[in-house]
Amino acid sequence: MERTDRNRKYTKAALLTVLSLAFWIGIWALAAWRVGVPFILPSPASVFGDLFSLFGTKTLYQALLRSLLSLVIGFVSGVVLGVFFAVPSALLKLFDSFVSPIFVIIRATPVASFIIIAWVFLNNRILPGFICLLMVTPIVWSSLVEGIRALDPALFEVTKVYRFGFFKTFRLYLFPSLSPFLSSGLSTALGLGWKSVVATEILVRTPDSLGYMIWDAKAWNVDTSALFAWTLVVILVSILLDALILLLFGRSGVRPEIERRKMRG
Amino acid sequence: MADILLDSLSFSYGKKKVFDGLSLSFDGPGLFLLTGPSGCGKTTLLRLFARLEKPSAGVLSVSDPVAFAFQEYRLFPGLSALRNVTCVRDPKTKEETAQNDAEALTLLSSLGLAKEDAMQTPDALSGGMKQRVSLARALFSPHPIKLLDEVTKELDRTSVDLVLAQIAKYSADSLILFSTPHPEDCDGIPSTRIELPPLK
Repeated sequence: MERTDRNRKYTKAALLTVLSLAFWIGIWALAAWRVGVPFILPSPASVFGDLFSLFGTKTLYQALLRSLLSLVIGFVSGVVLGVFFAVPSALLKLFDSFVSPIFVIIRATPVASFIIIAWVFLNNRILPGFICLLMVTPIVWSSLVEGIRALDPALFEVTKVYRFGFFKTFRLYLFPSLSPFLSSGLSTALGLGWKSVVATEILVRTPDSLGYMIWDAKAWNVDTSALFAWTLVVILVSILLDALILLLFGRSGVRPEIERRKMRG
Repeated sequence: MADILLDSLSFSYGKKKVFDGLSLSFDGPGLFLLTGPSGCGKTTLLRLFARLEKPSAGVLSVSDPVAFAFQEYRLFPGLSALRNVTCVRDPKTKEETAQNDAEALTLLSSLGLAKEDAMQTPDALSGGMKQRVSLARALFSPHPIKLLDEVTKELDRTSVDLVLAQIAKYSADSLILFSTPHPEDCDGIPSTRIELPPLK
């Protein structure tokens, strides 16, 4: 009964998404037809055609690989640095007052300024990862600091009394308490990190990257349809990354439900 | 030496003195009822035994690890009632896990919680149910000294009887210190009363 209800809910949500997408694509098609100049606004058919033909090329996968590599390197090192600074920042006031102004400044600085400044020191292959790190670190830092400060000390006493080891404390207390903060922080950081990787690649023209392909489509080939198709690739990756975070952190509350079903069975 | 020994123990919250030169000893197994008027330091004494507070002077020795049923339940919100109980043991094999589950379910059922309730997370349980899960966790723990802080506070008469029957059963093998403002509830159970003096 519960499963049928849930399936019906998912089907309804999926149908609504498809309808909404169809509506906006319809508006786009109408606008493209009204403008009538593909160079200014290409039609959805031409863009999707370009997108599907891209899937058959080696260039797409090469570009995806390079951009994702920059993202992974920048994101992972940004998360490590964020965690590294967040723990002492949440626990020591003095440390926090030294560190927080730096992160506030980084968050307030436009990403383009960082790209231009860092370009003086770093080459265009390393730069996207570095900029991603700069964007990710303050977000992870601030959400984790917030999460650590919101930890329930009463539950910590339970772990102390029952002498839980570190891993058990982490599994039963720290991870479930921090995961809402971490998941929202990581989701924002991943989205921003991905966009900053592509923006950097466009600005510094990182060879064989998604950003380069977007720049190339616009500046050299003046192919707006291809430009839209490459941008769609960036959007699709962004959606997939969001789903990945949801898969990793969106499971709280699932375990008891599974147990309930097991015991019934 | 006694399982728990206090010698000239003093403790204060800031400037407020809670204990001044308190000497007591507890030997297990058995049930000790800590009684006294509200605010006389029953909870503080249990917290001292659990090493959650430090005495300001005197000697406090606790021979074994303790289990604590807190007044405010303190259950892990993401775990089912059953997992909140079984988490205090570390089974090595699948068989041990299954045995623990069965044992915990029996214990919860003897405290008046059905199998369906045991599968719920704490947010779906009433205050009285949460209190019994917290008590079950302490009783289920392998730690031989059990500290129970007013664990019948939110229960109706039927549930109080079920809880007291289990406390009496477990006191045959463990040292149980049960703080309660209503010691008369335990009249039918072999126990030792310790009356704490009111705060000066």
